[in-house]
Amino acid sequence: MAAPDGKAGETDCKSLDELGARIDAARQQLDGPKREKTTKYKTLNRAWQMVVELVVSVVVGGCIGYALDWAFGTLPLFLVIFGGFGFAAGIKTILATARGFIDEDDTASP
Amino acid sequence: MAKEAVEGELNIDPMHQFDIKYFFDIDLGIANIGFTNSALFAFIAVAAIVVFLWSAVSGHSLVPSRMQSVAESIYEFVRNMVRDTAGDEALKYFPYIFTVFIFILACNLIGMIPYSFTVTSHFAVTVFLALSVFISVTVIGFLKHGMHFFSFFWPAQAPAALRPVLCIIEVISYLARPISHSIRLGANMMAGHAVLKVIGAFAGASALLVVPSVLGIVGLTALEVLVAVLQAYVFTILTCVYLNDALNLH
Amino acid sequence: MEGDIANMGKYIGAGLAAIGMGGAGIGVGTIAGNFLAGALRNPAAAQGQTPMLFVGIALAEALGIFSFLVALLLLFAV
Repeated sequence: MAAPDGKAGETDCKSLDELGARIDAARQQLDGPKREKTTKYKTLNRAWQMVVELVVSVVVGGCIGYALDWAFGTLPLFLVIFGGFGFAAGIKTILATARGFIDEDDTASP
Repeated sequence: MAKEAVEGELNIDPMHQFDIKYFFDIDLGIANIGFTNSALFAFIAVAAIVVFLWSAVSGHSLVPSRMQSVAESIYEFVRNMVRDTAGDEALKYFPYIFTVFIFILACNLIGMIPYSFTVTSHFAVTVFLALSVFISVTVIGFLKHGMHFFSFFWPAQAPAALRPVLCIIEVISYLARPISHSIRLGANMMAGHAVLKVIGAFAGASALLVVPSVLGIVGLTALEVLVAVLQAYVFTILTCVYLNDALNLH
Repeated sequence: MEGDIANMGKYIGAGLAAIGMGGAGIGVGTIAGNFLAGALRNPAAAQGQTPMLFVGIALAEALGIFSFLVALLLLFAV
């Protein structure tokens, strides 16, 4: 009767592990929506922040270009060039911001 | 808030609450530096901070009272934020960052009281705050690194042909910082208060809408308190990030 | 009379520029919809790609805001 006993103990252990896993899963399910609620506002804020960064970069670049044009009297030239530079700067900024989000999520989630 | 509001009509006037009113004028010809409601509420915020911190630490017992532990936890929160994002070296500038944080926090929270005025919803205020951070951070960078500070803009690991273009891009994104820094705070505060006022206008439009709009205002007010604290935090942590860039040059 | 025609052109131009906001709406909808479709097929990979979703949304929305800026410039600056 030793073998079935051992087997029974094993299954007990297994079922306990399973129970633990199920409790963890249920707890996560319970916690999950709560965490979602707090991060929903945060994600909206992030998206809006990136839009502002991109637009501001292009506008600043455009202003610099317009000032150069005003100084040299070559109106559309530098405006267009520096608008492009501003766009590139904006892309760079929002990529850096996105990288910051990845780091933040990595440190926050585990 | 409009005096000529007629019952049963939709009177949406969300921007009225941001009007600047002069209590008295001091006209210098180029500018009017009279006392405004904005200045009044900025003074109220400063007075509230002074009273709060003074009363919190006047007992200074080893086992903190409730007020003292609130003040101490705010202090420690900002101090840890500065140290984590900008390193130990930045603790020299901690008093300034703490001042910025607690001033914005007090202005945002005082703005949440009905019939009061939100100082930080005006771009004149937020642009000033962001520009002072920008200029002081740039000066700190130059004082620490001298002319070597320009290497911040010079991407040394990029291909040689691309470097001048990337340098211009870096300069533009550096110059764009104070603007996006200030717009984020000002637009968040202004938009939140305007939305509250619009929802409030629905309540005056018809009796059917009173209950849902009051419930909506309660929910939005809770959200706005969260936004007020969060935006003060975001402004401060961005200040720390910029300070870190100036001190450590990436 | 000349001023009137110039004003008319200004307002028509501003209205046409505001159509660009609709384009931004289409773009953001496409990005979010495609992200959701992809995320539902492979939910495990979705978490890592959310920053890229925001980059895409920011790009699309920024272009819409540029057209809005052009409309504002036409209305108030030109």
